[in-house]
Amino acid sequence: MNLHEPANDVITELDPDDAATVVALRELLAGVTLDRPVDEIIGRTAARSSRSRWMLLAAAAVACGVAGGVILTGTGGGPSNIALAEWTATPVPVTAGDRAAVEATCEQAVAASGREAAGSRLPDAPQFDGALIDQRGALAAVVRRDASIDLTCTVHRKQGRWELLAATIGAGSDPTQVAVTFVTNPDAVINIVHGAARGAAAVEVDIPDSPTANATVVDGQFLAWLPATFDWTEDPSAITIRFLDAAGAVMSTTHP
Amino acid sequence: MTSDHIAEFSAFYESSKDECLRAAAVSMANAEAPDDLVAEAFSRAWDQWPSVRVHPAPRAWVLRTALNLHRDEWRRRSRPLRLVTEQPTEADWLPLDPRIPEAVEQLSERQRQVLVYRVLLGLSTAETAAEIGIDASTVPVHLRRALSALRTSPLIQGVSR
Repeated sequence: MNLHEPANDVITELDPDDAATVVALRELLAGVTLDRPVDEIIGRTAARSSRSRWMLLAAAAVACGVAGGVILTGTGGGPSNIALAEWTATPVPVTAGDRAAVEATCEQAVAASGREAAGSRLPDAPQFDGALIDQRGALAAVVRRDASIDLTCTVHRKQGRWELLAATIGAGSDPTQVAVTFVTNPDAVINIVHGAARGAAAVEVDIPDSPTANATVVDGQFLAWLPATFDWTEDPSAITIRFLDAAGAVMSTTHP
Repeated sequence: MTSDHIAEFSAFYESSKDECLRAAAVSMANAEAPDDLVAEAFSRAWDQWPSVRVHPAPRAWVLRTALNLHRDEWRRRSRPLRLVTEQPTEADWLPLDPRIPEAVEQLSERQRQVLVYRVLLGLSTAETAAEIGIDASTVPVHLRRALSALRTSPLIQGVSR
């Protein structure tokens, strides 16, 4: 961690010409200083939190790394972003009953889309068996990716029933690569990040503007959904994924 | 947040704010007010301090957030036609010779990134490599090429002389 001072000055590693160039550059920049007291920086938080930080966007879903997606959205109907209300940094365990209900809701939704997907060589009734589920509060993201098909589904439990928010169906992709899916619905705006866990015991997902998410990690895959302020499929490299060992130490970091 | 968090963030801010602003200003040649963007990025770092404080390179986190804010602002502004050309006020003025970002823009993207992270932010070679996503052994190579190219700039020559 490099929290305060740099560990070592680069100048010590450079030859005299390069070191002189660094000194000259630093001299040119010496007058550039940020003259804001730290109280002002901390005070901005309170000012910002008094505004709505979360935008509601028109219903749409965009997938990065998922080709040829067919987009389905639920009916929605509420003015609030339930993703913000439901989100927790750590996912909740998915019960067997919820798993079955979530898979059934998603399968029902995508089966009905088989006709829309005609010509894309997708199966008529894609199955969510073995899909990874990331549930936070009463909102769950479901992802199944392999070489033959990519399925992403988000559902919300309302009055004991799971209802579809949005789903994407796409041609298969390499599941070891990180995929980012942006989902908007009149009820929820979220980013979904999925990929291989690389042998990590835990995975953290950082998206600028959102708190860190502890991802669901099962069978060598990780999955996390986060409330969105921005469609990060447009700039997936801004997402940071940290792979942690059982002791919580960072094994590696990557950006999609 | 605890008082320990406040003290820790304050120390981080005081020791990093100028380096982050210089790195951002050099990286955003067309930014009108990079100091506002960096201040906002630090504020967001405070919002998320429990996670930012354990980030492998918190300064890089701040810089990346500032660059994202700049990109978002640029996108928002580019949508509607701007009918009035805004002139920077004295308060917006930053004592940065515009030839510096122009000279840095001549570098390749990798050279520019290594220069910003390694020289201006003070990250280690390993941290720089991790942030950019390149092999650590290539960082000194990119840096040497970047500094060699910068050395030809009349601006740098004028100071070195």
